[in-house]
Amino acid sequence: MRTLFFLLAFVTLSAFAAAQTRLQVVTKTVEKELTYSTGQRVNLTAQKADITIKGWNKSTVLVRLKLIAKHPEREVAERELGYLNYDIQTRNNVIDLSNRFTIPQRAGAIKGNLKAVYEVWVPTRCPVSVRNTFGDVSLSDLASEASIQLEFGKLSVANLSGKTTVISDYGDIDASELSGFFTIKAEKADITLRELSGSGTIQSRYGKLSIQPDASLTSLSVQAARTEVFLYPKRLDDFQYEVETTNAIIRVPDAYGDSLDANKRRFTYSASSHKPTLLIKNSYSPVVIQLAAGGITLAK
Amino acid sequence: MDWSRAIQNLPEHEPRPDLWDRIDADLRADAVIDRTLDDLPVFEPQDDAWEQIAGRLEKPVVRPLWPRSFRWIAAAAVVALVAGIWAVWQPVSDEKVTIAYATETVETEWAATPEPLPSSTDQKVETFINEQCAQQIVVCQKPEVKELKQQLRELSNRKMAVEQELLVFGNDPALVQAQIKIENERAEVTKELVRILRI
Repeated sequence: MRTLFFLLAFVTLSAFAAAQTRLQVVTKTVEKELTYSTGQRVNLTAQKADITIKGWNKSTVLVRLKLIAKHPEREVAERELGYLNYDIQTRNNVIDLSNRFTIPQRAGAIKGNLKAVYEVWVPTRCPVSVRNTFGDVSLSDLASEASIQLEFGKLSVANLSGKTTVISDYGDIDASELSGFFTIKAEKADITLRELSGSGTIQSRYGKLSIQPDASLTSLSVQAARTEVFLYPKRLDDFQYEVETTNAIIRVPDAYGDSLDANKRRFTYSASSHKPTLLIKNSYSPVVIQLAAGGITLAK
Repeated sequence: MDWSRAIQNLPEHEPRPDLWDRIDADLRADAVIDRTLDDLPVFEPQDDAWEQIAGRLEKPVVRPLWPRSFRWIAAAAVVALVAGIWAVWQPVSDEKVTIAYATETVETEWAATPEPLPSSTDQKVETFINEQCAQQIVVCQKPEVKELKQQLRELSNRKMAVEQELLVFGNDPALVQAQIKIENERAEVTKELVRILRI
């Protein structure tokens, strides 16, 4: 019995050890504070980067860029860190931030893991453009024009109240307290919008869209195709609804079933003509309207 | 002559029918050049390259540039210039660069992950779709099928693009996750297409 126990312990431990590797991590941190004058735009063009941009009430732009290389051997990590280049520059009215990978041909493929991590603080009113692939982007506390373009990775936005434009291909979106004017165009993305207010349009193909509208939402138009759409108002009577689907059904709380047509393809409801209108169109995937349970929970 | 008549009299020109294609081709060519620029090989010069060049140059003749009395003025000007440059560059060089070293333990993939099935299902599906479309022309003309086929093409292109990135960056977690997303999406679109075409 004891032998069996030891044997088991040995097998488990060695399996555990095999599943872990010790990596040497070399991090180059570049920190720069740039003077900012009104009207200047911050333009970030990133590759394989994790990006955090926050609005603050100082009148400067602070950039902290970490370039990280990981490999079991330190020499390899150090050498490959040299393949990661960056640029922090003010050109005319634009503050350009970028990183790129320059891999010498003789090196062939990268052996370790390379990554760039940006932390950027900008004045609240500073317009921001971000482009990124294969990494996470987070934007918060801005009252300016913000345009974000991402492929893969995840976008989190919080408290944006200016003019927000998001174009996402495969990049999931999680937004809370989005207001002002917003335009979201997404493909194959899982989109969750909490406490959505202001006014805007959402276009989505494939993927999933969950919206929790705030009563202060003034207008919303959703043009979806093959996207599962979930709408979670706190009170159904806060809005007027014009919902249409093809090749899929609409589900509404039982009490509102009368406003649904016979084959559940159309839902038109209005408690009062003064309420803001939610327009939703979808195809091949259902639209579900359901009261927000406790105001926060969203089905994932 | 009045305005509207004058505008009507303006000559009309039709752009050549292939203009868009040409613009598109130009843009693509530019993109390819941009990408290739990054991939150009880097050559290191030989260590003694400068010595070799210097050796081939004629021996310079040293000649005093200014009378002795001007030299001090020139030297003072150089000092002033250097100080000026230093003063101008000072605010720009507030870029702080630090290098830090650390170690971390990461998970690696189990050695015993399931082997990929030795089948060529992807090709079979493509053949199946093409065959079905050849037989059931009507079904394949349905907008839904057309869209799904287009979708599958886009996904296959994306799959190849990510596979290229994986060749360069290795099994990078962000890239592997992207690959998973595409493969799952491809699987779903493929299944739906097969389901429709089977009927």
